Amino acid sequence: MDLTDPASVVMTKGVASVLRVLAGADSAFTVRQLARVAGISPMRASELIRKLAAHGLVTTATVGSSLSCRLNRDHLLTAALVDLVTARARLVELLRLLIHNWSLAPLHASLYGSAARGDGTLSSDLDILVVAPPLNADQDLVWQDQLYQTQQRIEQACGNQVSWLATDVEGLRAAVEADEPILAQWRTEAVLLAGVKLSELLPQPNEEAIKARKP
Amino acid sequence: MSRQNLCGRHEAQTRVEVAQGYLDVAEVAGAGEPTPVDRNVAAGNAVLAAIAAADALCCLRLGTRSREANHAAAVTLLQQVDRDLSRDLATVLAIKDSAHYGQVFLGGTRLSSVLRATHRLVEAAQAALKG
Repeated sequence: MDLTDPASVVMTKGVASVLRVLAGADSAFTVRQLARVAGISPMRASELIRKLAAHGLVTTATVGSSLSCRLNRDHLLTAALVDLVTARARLVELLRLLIHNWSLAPLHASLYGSAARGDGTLSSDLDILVVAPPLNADQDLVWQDQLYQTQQRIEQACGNQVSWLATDVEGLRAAVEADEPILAQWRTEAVLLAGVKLSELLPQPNEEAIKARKP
Repeated sequence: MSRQNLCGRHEAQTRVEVAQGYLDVAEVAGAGEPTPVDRNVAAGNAVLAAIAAADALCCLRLGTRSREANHAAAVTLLQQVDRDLSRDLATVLAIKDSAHYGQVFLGGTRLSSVLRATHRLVEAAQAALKG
């Protein structure tokens, strides 16, 4: 699915944005408020509200000189539409649930890359960093099975492939020592799925060692 | 529908031999106390061995093999042959993603895991060829 806005399969990004805002709070919005939160122009918001109101999905009321609107949660289509516009958030929740059910818990798991930033496309992978606890050979097979089952389940759920970056604490330490560029990306955009925060596992970079390596 | 090539026993035999060759190189490179470069060489050859073994298994059991570039289709196709071997292929192919970000993430424990999975794939392909 389109990881930026999965609902784009059946509706415009503008409609999806408006519905997402209305679904996110059980309150009435003025058109200006709605436009601001949805990131669209007031004129476009007004146009979309009229359209949604014509279908009965939004109820409107005139308050003073402005129009207020609210999602009609009793409409037969509302639940399905809310499911659509919250699909990205629900995908993250599904990931959390699947990893939570692993018999061997990871020290850390997080989503990063385009899926975490919300700028993915139909063909984007779900990049997931997963830090394994110490494992013996038998546990390793269980661990690999967990990754495999989760990968299959997620690919069925959204059509995007899962790209694991599986490592352990040693691997993280080596990455810090080598000043790997991916660390900066993880620090800024990672969405925690399970375990402790990455900052709790990452040792502080040895600035002198890094400087010494640079020409 | 993913892109696939028709194939049979003759191609399977060739792919098994290729798989064993890559696995031999991977094991030599990963033996003892490998340096990061050794681990990278071992992992790269393990990936090639696993793909060749998966091709052989699919040729023998399904009469077709994946020709998708991203290899995820090969994991899905192998699932029709054996679920555990499909998991092993996924395990080995996952190191390609790690390697993309730097070889430091491929530690000794991870390499051992990948080599064990590759072994199982190559052994299964050899057994299928004899069966």
